[in-house]
Amino acid sequence: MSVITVSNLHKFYGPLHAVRGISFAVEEGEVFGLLGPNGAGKTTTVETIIGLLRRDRGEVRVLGFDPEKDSLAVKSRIGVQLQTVHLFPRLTVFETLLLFSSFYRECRPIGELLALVGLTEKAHTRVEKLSGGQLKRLSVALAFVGNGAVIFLDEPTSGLDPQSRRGLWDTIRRLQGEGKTIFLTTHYLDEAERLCDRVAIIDHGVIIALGKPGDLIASHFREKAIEIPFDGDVLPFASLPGVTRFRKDENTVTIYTEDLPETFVALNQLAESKDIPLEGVVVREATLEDVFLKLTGRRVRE
Amino acid sequence: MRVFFRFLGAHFKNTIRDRMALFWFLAFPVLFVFLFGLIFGDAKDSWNVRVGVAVDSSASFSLPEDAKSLIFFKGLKVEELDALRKGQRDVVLSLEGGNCVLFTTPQSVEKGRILAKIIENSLLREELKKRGVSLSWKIVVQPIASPRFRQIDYFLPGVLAMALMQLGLFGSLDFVELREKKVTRYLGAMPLRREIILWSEITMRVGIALVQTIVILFSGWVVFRVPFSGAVFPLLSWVLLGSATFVSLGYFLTSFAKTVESASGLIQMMQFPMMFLSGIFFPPEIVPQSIQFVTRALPLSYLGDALRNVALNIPSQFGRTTDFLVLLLWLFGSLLLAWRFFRWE
Repeated sequence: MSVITVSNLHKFYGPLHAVRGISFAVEEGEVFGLLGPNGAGKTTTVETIIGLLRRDRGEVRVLGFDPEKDSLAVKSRIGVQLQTVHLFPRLTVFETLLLFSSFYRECRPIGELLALVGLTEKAHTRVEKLSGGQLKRLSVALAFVGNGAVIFLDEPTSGLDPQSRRGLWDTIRRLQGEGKTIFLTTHYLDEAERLCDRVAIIDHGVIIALGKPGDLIASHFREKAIEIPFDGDVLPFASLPGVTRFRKDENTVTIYTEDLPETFVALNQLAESKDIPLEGVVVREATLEDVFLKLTGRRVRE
Repeated sequence: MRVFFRFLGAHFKNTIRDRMALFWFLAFPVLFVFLFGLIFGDAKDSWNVRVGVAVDSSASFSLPEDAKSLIFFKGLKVEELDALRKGQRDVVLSLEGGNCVLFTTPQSVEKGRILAKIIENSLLREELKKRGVSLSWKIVVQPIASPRFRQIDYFLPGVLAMALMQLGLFGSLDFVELREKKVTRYLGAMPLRREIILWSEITMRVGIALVQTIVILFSGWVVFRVPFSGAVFPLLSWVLLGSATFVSLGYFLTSFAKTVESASGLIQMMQFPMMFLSGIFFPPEIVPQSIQFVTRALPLSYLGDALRNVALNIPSQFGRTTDFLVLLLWLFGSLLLAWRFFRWE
């Protein structure tokens, strides 16, 4: 069953056409990721779906309700974490959670929420004294307060240290285990690959790919990727047997091959003849990053 | 309702934890009372009852000069009443038409009553017996009209009016802060009616206004014995009307500002002329004729006037009805404009 359906959604900011007719559906119980670089339209999409922004065209349904017409019905059934966190500066973490818990009929215990995001020790610290990462974790906890069926997380892990990031992944999986549907945006493609059941890649307000991360990678790449630390003429690499595509970044050449053993043998010979050091060469599966690169010609973070 | 009270608590904590806000809303007016009182209050005299005895009235009796806290002056009735009007006497004693009349100023009525008791119980008894007058004489306490007041008496209700104005105008900066820091936007994603945020904030503001009233009147009484001689409910009604007016005015003014800084500037523009032209620190007659019309236009002039009248019985300059109508006009005017120009984000 679809809990969120978006069809032909458009949003303008004055002359700027931020979201250009996107459509997708999110199924119950899945972790759905909206990926894209900064400014791609992720936040605009989320804020339109939850009814914080008015859409200019298209249809949106969340749990069967139109977020513009039945704003309260939608908001009381979902949990929201917005990208930029703004709260009463002089309330403590605990008081903030208490305040937010009064908005919902059914709430999670505050102690559990604090433990969930690792803020138990900061319960009586004022919001204005929290670090950026702690504030982010508090905002994530606020999305869980109401025990909503659908949780929207807008860039929940940006600005978090690696440990907190992993902690949050565990939390998200746990909530998924409880049957929640999670809609998250991120510009970390590795995160989306690990965490999301399905992803939509958005760029310049348009969805350029939609599906399971594994399927997306497989449909765009039967190849494996070889990363060679090298700064020079790349043409010889392109003509190696099995290579379908190559890419040159600052100090790295990435070649994609359909036939890894053959390419690797040839690469060895090439390296010997041209005296290219092969230390630091990495062979890996293609990733969403590669997909994004292929579809847009850019990296997500540039 | 639960949401409302949680918000009330949240606003309250968020405000009282801001030391600066506390200082401006509570400590600053008290400090003002104290400083001004030290300069103009002449506090020492107010502990004593200064009794003027009209020697030309039908009784020119002698009173014990050593009675505690009583300072006696003797003179013609006209002179003594004049001294009473100038604030140099608290009570003038005169025997008239078979009655013992104690003239007082409205704010010394209490002292007059106390004196009446003393006279009744001891002082006069002997004197009256000597003259063969029976005790069926009445002792009448009679306040006289249009007296002059001590500066501090005039000043204290003015400080209260000023504090209510400050609270209303500068208090709205809290909301500008919430708006500027996008707290209101964040809450927009939550399942609640956003009006609750506003109403709970206004409720808290009115609560602080009541606390201000108590603190200011109490500190005036403790330090300078400024007597509260009005009735509580009329006073509270005026306090509510005044704070409602200035809270609305504050929201109206700040709806044009994006940041706390610019809002603060807008408020100063309104607040400064009111501070000095509304007759808060000195009687409005001192304001030059050429800008009297400004005084006449400012809401604070009328709130100060009404509060002086209702709290200390100081005769109203404009009349309470005028005070009420002008304040009401300002209230509805700014309420309408605040409504019209209000912005959540």
